[in-house]
Amino acid sequence: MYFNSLTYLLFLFLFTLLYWQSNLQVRIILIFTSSLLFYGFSGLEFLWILLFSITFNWFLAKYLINLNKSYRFFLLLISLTFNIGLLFYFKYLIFFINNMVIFSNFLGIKVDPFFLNIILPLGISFYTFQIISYVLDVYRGTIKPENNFILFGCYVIFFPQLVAGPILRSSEIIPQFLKKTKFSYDHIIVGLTRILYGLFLKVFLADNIAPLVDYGYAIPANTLSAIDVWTLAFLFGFQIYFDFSAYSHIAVGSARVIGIYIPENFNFPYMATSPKEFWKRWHISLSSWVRDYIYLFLTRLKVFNKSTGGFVIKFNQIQFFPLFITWGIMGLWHGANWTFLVWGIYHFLFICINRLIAPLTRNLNTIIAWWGGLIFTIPAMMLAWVPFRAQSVSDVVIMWFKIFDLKSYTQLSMRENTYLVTFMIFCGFFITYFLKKKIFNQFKTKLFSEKIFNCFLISFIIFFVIIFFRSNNQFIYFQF
Amino acid sequence: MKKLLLIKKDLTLIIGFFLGIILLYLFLPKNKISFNDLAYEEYTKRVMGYVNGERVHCNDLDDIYLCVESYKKNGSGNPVILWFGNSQLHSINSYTQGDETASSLLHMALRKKGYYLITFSQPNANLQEHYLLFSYLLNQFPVKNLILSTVYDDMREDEIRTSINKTLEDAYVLNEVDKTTIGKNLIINYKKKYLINNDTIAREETNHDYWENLINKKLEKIWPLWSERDLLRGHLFYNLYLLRNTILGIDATTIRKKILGPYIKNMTAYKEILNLAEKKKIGILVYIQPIRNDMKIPYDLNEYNLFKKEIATISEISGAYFSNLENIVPNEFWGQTASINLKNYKDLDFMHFQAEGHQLLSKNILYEFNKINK
Repeated sequence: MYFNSLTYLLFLFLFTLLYWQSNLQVRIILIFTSSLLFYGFSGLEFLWILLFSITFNWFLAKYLINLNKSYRFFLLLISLTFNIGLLFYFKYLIFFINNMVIFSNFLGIKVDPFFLNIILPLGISFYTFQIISYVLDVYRGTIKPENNFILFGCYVIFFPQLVAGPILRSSEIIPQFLKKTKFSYDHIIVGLTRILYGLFLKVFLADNIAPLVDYGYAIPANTLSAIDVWTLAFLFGFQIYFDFSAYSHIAVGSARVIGIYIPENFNFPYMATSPKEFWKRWHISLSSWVRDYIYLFLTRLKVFNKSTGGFVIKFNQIQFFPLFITWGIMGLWHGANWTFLVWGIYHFLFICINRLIAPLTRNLNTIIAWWGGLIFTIPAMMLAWVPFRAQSVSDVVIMWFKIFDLKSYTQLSMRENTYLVTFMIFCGFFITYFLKKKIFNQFKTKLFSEKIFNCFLISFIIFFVIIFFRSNNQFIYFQF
Repeated sequence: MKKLLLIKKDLTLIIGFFLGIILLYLFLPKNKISFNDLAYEEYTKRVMGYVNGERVHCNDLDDIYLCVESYKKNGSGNPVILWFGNSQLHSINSYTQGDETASSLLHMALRKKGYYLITFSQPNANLQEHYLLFSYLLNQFPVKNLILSTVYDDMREDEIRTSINKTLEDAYVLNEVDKTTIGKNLIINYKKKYLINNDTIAREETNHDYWENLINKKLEKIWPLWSERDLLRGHLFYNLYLLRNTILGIDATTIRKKILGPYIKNMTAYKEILNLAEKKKIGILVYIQPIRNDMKIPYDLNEYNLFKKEIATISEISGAYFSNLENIVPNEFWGQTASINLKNYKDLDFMHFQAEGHQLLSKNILYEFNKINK
């Protein structure tokens, strides 16, 4: 089921109605069955894989805790092999085989290409990461294994976050399922408002930007100019932001209507003043997952506990190799293509640059540092989207090199509206940020003004959502 | 007090919702709008070519059956000459009763020679659309010649309208265009667009799609505005277009720069039309469309000259006959058009001429045509 569909809205309405009428036990069963229904609506064939994965990992984690250290580790390895193997089979096998064929032929060993028809199950990257974090936490003793299978199932397949996150930790969500929340209009109002915001971002902004982006990236890379590359980088940057943050808004809102709080996944990422800060604002649940389960795992010997407390990583002790591996995994998590690896390496390089220059900027005036950081970070992060959207690594290289070709700053390859729309969104993004952070806070002190403002804002959103509501445009992150 | 605040909050969402709905009804145009005909208004009239009450001039696949019927009735067995162009062929500026388009006039002239001319024209038609239509018509009529109008302005166009995209539902066209790179590209885009442009169409046969179609249909019945959303979208975009033109001071005389992406695609489609014609042994007459020349034309002159040169060179290489007809219509036979921005004044029409212009165009095409069919 897709969030931007009437089917989902009807489903959510009926689910919410039943949820608030039920007692705690029924609520848990309702979440589990509704989530299965939600997933099964798009095709039953992958439901079995999901159910098997949940059952298998639940059993392993349940019995792992009672075993001695070596057996525990053995079961952990089985679980990791199973989960990563599942992900590898569905997501990376074709890519791996294709590259092996190319590599063999390059070495002079003649291998004929062969074709596999493997369809990626919806949300597999997300729920697999969620299951891995659970098993690892149980293994480390951070959490106790969940004895109730249905409750564990709810954690993995809770429908608002099942297909494209946020990637939750069991400790964040299971206690909420166990709490009998009292009905409050506030939940409904806040939840619906978040859903409306999400729909607006998706159906009005992201879906209307999409044809411009598709058009631009369909133009042969060598005929694009520097202005085109910048425009496409920014435009796709905004498209993916609106699209993915829309999903997160709807996820947060859908959970909120039944009184469940899901952590935020975005916080105005393009207002980041450094690449490091960008990753604290963009897809927060993934970056924190990668930090906790990959980066800190790889660097655990390199960090030390300072007497003042907390983990401190000294610059000269930073291990670039773990950082490189982390970003490589982060890149390939998004898809089986070299372009995603390039994307990961690009971010790795900028994080390194960030760490190198950070000590030099510490003494700068706050305003200068803020503006300087912003002016450096936005274009750098936007250019990172080029490999995310381009068809091949060669296209990425051509496009990136174009920006250094000063002669090509005078030529345009796309319709004038593309540049105009990009400029307007760019300005609109900043205006919205300042309105929300500076002006809107003043409204909050004047209740009446806030109500009027909200009325107009909602009517404006309703107007555009109804006009542009279409269920045919999938969310970008569904493909990951 | 706390309860009171909650009620106020509830009302905010509900009031906002109803205000939004009211806004939608206020914005809904009173009458159905044909967005293709917005440029006409009082100055120019859409006139399709008729001969003895029979259609010899069509737009696209939506009305092609009229031309097929006419051909079967009046011209069956005669070799067919196709003429492709844009709105210039079906528009008469300062129309008066009895004025005829070049398509009717040329049809009558060619009938005397045993040929049957059928004209196809669409507003802002681009060469990719002509390529699809040409591929389709080859299987509908015994085509002997193609007269192809080339327009610099339309080289900026890249959209394939639904009524032309339908040609890709034909197995013959699909097979034919799939052999070329530009054709493959058109097929991919068609598949994408088909999904995007259908609010209620099923993607695949999943439970989700079934329910989505069902709910959409029910909603359309209960709430008619739901089915008017395409009209609202069009209306919104048209108003944004006018607003943009007003703010940026764009009018009919504003220079239109070449857009490299569509230009390359259209030029490739042009080559494929010539290749296909050569393969099917169909003679082609390519001409540069007439343009108003009493004012500075709204093109970058260097780019425009390069375009003409490129069209001529490609036609020469492919063995097509080329003719430049840009200056055949004198200044007095052009007219005015409605404004393309919110300022309420007239604009100069660089595209559509008066009935006398149609006579001249027909005469000149006939003259050139005779050269290739001696």
